[in-house]
Amino acid sequence: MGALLRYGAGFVFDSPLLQVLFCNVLGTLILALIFEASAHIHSHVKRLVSTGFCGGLSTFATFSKDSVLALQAGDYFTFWANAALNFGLCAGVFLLVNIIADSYRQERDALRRRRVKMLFNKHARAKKSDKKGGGK
Amino acid sequence: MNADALLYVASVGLGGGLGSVVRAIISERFDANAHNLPCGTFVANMLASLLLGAIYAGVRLGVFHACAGLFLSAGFCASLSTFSTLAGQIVLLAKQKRRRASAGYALLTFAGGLILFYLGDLLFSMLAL
Repeated sequence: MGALLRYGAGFVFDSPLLQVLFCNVLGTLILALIFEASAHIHSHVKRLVSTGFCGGLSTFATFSKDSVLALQAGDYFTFWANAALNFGLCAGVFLLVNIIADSYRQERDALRRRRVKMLFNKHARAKKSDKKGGGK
Repeated sequence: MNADALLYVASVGLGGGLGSVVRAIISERFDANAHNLPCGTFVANMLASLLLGAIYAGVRLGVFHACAGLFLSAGFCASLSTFSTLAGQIVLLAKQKRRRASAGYALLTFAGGLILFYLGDLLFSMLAL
């Protein structure tokens, strides 16, 4: 499925460089989302999407080919821009999703702690008033 | 959609499925090791670059039919290699404070991919001529 989507993207983008860049970034984005949500997803589904779909969508070999062709044509700007954009954007997307997920988890945990504390205080108050009632 | 286009799509899809399965096997076998370095993904990427170099030469020299070329290059090799897992592993290694391992992995994969593609192209051209 990923390979077919990548092939289909070739008809949308004029340049094969843009096609590969788009597919790599999209594949990384989906992989990062799967990775962060892995606790809630069945391992078979996780493998299907991460190894199957994302792996088929993103490609390293075609990236190597484009880089070598740019080098052979003496087009050093394309070579470096392509390498920097692919590595930078993909690593950036993964890191960004990771940071967002981390801050979400922190907020959720803080909320949970507050709720537990509130329940605990409520329980303690109820116990206290029970004791008072029993003493009389 | 005419018959030719359907054949191309089928070639890419079948090749892609096969490449993904081979990479899944390789990374399952080698990714979890003592040094916690993603050797399996590295091997899959290098293998795919070498193969793609050879196939690129084959297509250029007219050894392969267009369909076989698509099946092998856009399908098999492109799916055997992966950029998403590579980017994820680089970021995760860097987050574990293993900056040198992360930078080394990225550089080695990048340089290795270039060299192996070139080698594959060269070797196949020499063998075919």
